[in-house]
Amino acid sequence: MLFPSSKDRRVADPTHGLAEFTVGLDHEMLPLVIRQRVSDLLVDSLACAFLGRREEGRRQVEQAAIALGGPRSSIVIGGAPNSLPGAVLVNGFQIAGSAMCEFHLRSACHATPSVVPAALAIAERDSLSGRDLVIAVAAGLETIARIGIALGPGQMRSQGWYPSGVIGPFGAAAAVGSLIGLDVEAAQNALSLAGTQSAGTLVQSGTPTLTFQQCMGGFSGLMGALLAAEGFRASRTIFTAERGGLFNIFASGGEPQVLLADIGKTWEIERFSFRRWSVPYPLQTVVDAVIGLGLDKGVAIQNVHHIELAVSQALFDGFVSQQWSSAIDARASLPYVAGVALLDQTCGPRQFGVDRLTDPVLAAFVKERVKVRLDPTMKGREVVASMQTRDGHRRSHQAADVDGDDLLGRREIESRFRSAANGCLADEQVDQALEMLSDIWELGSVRDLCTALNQSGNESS
Amino acid sequence: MTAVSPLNVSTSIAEFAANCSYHELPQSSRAFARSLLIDSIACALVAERSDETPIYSRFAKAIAGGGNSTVIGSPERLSVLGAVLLNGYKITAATLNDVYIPGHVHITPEVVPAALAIAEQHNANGQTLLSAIAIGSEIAVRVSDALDYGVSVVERGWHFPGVIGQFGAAVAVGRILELSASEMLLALSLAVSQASGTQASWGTPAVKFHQSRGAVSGLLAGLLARERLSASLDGVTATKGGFLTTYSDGGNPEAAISEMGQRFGFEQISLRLWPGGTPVQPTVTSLLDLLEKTDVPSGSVSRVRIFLAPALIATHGSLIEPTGTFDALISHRFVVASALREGRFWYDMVTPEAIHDPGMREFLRDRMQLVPDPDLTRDRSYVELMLENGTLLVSDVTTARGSPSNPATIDDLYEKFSRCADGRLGERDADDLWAMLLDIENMWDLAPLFAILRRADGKV
Repeated sequence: MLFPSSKDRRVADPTHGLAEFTVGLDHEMLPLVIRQRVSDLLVDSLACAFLGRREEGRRQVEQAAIALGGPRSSIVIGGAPNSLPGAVLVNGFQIAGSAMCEFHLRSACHATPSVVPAALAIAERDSLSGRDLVIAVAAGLETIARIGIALGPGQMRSQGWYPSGVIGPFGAAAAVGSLIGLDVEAAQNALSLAGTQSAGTLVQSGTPTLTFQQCMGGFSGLMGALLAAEGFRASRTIFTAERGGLFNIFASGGEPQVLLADIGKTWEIERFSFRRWSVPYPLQTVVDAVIGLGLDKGVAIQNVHHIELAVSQALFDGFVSQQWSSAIDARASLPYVAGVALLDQTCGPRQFGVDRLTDPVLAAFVKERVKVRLDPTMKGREVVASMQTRDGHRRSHQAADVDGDDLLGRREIESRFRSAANGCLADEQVDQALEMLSDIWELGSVRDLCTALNQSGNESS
Repeated sequence: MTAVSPLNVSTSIAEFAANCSYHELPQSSRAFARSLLIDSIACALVAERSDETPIYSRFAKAIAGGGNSTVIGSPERLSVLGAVLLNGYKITAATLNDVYIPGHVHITPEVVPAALAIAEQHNANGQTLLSAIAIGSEIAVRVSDALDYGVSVVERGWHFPGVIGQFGAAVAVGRILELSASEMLLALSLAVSQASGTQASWGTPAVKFHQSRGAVSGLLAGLLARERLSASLDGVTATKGGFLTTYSDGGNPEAAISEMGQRFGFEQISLRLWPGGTPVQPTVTSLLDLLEKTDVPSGSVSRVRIFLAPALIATHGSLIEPTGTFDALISHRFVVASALREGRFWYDMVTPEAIHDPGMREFLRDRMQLVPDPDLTRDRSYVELMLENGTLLVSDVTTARGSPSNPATIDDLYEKFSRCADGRLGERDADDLWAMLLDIENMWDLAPLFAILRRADGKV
């Protein structure tokens, strides 16, 4: 064996326990704080889906989804309806493509692009309640987070795997399985069938196909759950089989025992972070630090001599490119992100539009006045931004890395939703949708929400 | 050999996949692509022999919905996705389809359904369909050759059909959609992003799901490449996250392009002429060859010894009395005993009654023996029959009929096709279908072919 197998360590396969958890999860098991967090994540993901309509690759994925054929009866956020699997693909791509969806640091996964579209499509199809949807999304998010921790994202990434793509199918299968009422045996098959579709590598970094790998998680999980629902059998040892068990294929044996530790009592959902800015999660602190310099408080841009960012080895190695020809490139360029955040005092999707990417003033500012320095004492996402003005003043601001504590308030999330939906939905529709989402626990039918979110053919391009 | 830069491997594959014309294919390749198509359709016609086929049919309909695409053996049309899913499953369902033995990988369940669905949707002609199957299969086989089987399968536990097959399906789709070389490069990269399926599923129907799913992955890769979704230009050989690195240990990239356009490795794919696992095929061949030459009266055999490579004894030797259809189909003992009884072997002999027949079980248990022979390789076998009168009959050592060293003739293929079509199609439709398939390179309109495939629903 290349790696020590989980079997060697005599660890029981966690698929059965995970299936029991997802099948048994009900409204009584879900603490209020978790319900609220899931509800916030749901609204945030819908906002991201609107934002993602404008991102590179969305048109291509949507056209391919249409080419798969089938009745177009499922909602696409901000677009025309698509088939059930097609809508899962497109919505997933949009959520991930916004570069603003949540992030679970310990698993290194974005989970909503896999979980929410699959759950939404089934809840819409079967006219299930908002409560059903929240429980299903909770099952999916918790599943992804725990598998990711057990696999060990550092190990996975060092071997070239992309955790969000590899683990995503499990979350979608768990969510769909919850909604369609699989029993434990079928849920176990669903998870196993999802896991045997796990795929996605880091070779696609810097391209929209990395995003595609996230939306494929929803597609694969949907397949796994619907196939299991018909009674199709699958492996009982998808994680721990000596040959082909995922803990042995994607990691060096992983930590299977942590997957089910205190499941249902402690919640990884609490550790999902929101992204305030439309940049990769590791660069959120860069924007925080730069905006924290307070340029808008009495300093004109012309008076900025330069800014310097002291960053950790990880940030320095991964994000110092000075080149950008696309939004994806620019989002991965720490100098660009810092420059545009300083000049615009925000860092949303618009900061990566063509007008900003090709702005010669911005390009010159980034090239001449943004400096990045490696500071070996910095850890993780820690950043210190310093600004030197032409009149000799100096300011600095530090932003630190706090796992799971990057929260947005409900008002901020709803504001993001409102802004993102602008241009896709009429104001009354936005109000109606937000009203339903504000009390989604009591929503009778998700189909009503989808009707409110349906833009009735006013598709934005 | 001249050193090849890794990036050139991806671009070379893509250029070949996009640019090799039907007329550049040697006659043997055109004929073999036709054989793969005939064989796939034949296999799909007997899919109902598998318990899981009705389950899978319901699933395909539930997830993908109705549409305009033909499902082999069903009057009901599904969406493109649904047809690819279900035809992929049907081809592999009855354990009768092709296998590329060096990679232990089935190619047609991924390549053929994707090619058929897109050909139907785009009104492609027979030559376009055949070239899609030929070039798609060729690329799949070459990607398989480039992986280190020992690392990928034996050490890590990947199951090749879903890991390899989607490359072939992507290329087949790309051929029919007339992708350029640069678009084909994207298709290959998008296939990398979907390579999946592990041996954790071994012993469950999920291994067959991998094949159907591989067809869907290839379909998506081809469709997205047509839209020019940007992807890594070096998905196959990149050091970080590239296919050969993540699914193997870097593999042998040169194997993917060695003598490309001169040697067509997909002609090394084996066809199975009898139901059953790949390892039983040489044994059945050897026994039936013997029975053809020698009259062995029913009930006259007192003892049977089956000679196999020691490695096969290690993996299959413990299976003495099968409990179900799948067990029976991979059991040397059961297959040989059944063939001995009737001088042939087909699905009608793999019934629960036959499997649980006390006389059969006693014969399997008491009169049959698997014997390791270190001189044999996994693809060769022979049988020794001791008759009640003391006569010892020994079959020739042979490889499976249908394998590259003992290729299936057109008569062999016709016999298989006829058995598969029996009960699924009326005699006239079966004759017409055979005639169309034989002359498919001259078919400019495939609609009549699809129409017959939809009629093959067993209501004859």
